[in-house]
Amino acid sequence: MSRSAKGAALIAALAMAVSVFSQAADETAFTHAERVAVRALAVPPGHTPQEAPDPALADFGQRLFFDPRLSGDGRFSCASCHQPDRAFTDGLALPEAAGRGHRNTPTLINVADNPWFQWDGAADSLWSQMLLVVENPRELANDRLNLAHTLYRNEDLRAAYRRRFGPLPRMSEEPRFPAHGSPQAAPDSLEGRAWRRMAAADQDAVNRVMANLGVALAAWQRRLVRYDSPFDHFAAALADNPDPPPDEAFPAAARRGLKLFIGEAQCTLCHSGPDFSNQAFHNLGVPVTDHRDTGREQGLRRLAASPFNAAGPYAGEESDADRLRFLPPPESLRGAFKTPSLRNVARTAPYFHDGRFATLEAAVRFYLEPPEGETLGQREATLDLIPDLSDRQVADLVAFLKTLDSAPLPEAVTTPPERRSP
Amino acid sequence: MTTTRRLPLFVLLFAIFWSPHALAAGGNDTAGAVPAQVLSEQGRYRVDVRQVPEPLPEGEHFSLGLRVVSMANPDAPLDASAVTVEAGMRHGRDDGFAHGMQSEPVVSFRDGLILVEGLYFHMGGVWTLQVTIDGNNGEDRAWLTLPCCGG
Ligand code: HEC
Ligand code: HEC
Repeated sequence: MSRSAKGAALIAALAMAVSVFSQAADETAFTHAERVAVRALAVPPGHTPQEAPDPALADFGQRLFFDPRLSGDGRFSCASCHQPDRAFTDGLALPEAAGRGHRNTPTLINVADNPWFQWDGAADSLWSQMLLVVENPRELANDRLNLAHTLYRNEDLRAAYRRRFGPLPRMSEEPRFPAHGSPQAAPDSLEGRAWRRMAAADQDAVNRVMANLGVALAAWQRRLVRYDSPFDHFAAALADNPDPPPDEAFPAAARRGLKLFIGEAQCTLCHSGPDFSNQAFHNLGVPVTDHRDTGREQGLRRLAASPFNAAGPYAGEESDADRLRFLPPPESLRGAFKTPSLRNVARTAPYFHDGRFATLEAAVRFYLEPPEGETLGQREATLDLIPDLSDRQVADLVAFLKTLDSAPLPEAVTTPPERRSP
Repeated sequence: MTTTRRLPLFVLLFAIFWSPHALAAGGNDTAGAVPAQVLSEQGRYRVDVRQVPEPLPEGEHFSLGLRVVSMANPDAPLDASAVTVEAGMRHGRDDGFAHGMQSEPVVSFRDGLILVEGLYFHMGGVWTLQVTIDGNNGEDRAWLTLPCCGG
């Protein structure tokens, strides 16, 4: 064969390969392996949360969630940042309440069964997470003694508390229970000293009140369960048919995006399971901001130091303290953050732990063109498995991510209960 | 000449374009079974896998029961003081891990077995347990392939 003939043959073969390949990429039918992978992400439509074993406790939690009396100055509630009509986020890069926060507000939908809470996993239970917020000077900026006094002073809260947990400590006994105080406060601050002067039994009583409030809030958050997204409906159709008929709610671009997500783009290495998260912590080499957030490193230290962790005296019998035996050295996860759920992700902008990306497209492009800047710890090499993606592939991934919005939660769950006496 | 050079490249490109499809389904490496025993790199020790959950769980702690013997004296199992472990995923690398685990296992000696507790796999695919042995037959390393999970 002459050189030019060889060249022509090569071009022909190449052209054929390209056409075969692009045909394969446009193929709408799913392979067996793809269907297995999709099933691992989907939740059968109609799945509803189990009603709380104690509905009155969850109702109390709902009341607390919307109640600004939980904050130090009475202006902010949990719902200030976790707004029900924004999938329980605030639409801001960083939250603004008592101060400006350092981390983006995550959704609370389907949060209850997570093994770790917050971007750094500083809480190992939903109920104990509440303590991190209440005393955070940038969030609710309260202190536990003041909150216990608030409950005691307000007849509606006091009665609701008593019905669930028994009487509050006698907060009116002034020397025993100073107006303000917390072990979280700086040791030489007024609050820090006030707390240290208290009898151990009284400190314990106040801590227990906090833990109980957390238990009530957690019981309510267990109702915030919703799957039922266009993706779940598509997955149900796919279970019966490798090539389901076209579906407006799950367009062709979303199908291609789904195939990429579970295949070539390797997203399910981390965004796996029905919550699209492996609930693990990864260092993606996100450049640090001024705050120099060490992520899981800090989370592990705070977790180990917290009396409210699963091994502590306030944990219930069902808590899993055993896993605390196997925590890794904090430095090994410096700069790692929890894989966020991607459910409802179209409604939870901005993105990433520091809210750096305004759009889904920008968040996905991060994986292709990591931003420059100083990073902490060791970037995880898993990311090198993600190939370069074309503009169309990025658009397809985004189209797929937009099919993960769940059906709305019932209004009775997402609106503040009216302030009536219990 | 240029053509013959390009042909393999073309074949390579073709292979690259096709392999993602073969690798679909979560991008996992192909799963297999946990080996019943492995020899250390230099053949100084043998590691028998005596207790292993079937299949390995994903996103849950689990334990392995190992019996480690020196090839110089295969009837006397070593105890936990001779053994350290580390697990991770290679993701196609020849050496080192692309990432490790997010738990730190605890190694103890119980009922004649080296018990490795607190293993935790947070990703599907093939994990590797590196067993470093420093016993009466010198230092050596064994590699145990642990496919996660159940695929
Ligand atoms: C100032 C805004 C703000 C307020 C008020 C607030 N949160 Fe949050 N919430 C956040 C931010 C930001 C995070 C992430 C914090 C982090 O990772 O450090 C978060 C995290 C959480 C998480 C963990 C979610 C996950 O996926 O890990 C839960 C649960 C939660 N908040 C519940 C509450 C409850 C209950 C209240 C009221 C007691 C509350 N929040 C009040 C902003 C707020
Ligand atoms: C190695 C694990 C890993 C892989 C692989 C991965 N992600 Fe992520 N993803 C994360 C982590 C961790 C974060 C949070 C990072 C942060 O906040 O610093 C994240 C954040 C995101 C977010 C922002 C969500 C939010 O609420 O802020 C999107 C969207 C996203 N990933 C999509 C993808 C897509 C699409 C792919 C595949 C191309 C992918 N991810 C692959 C771990 C991973």
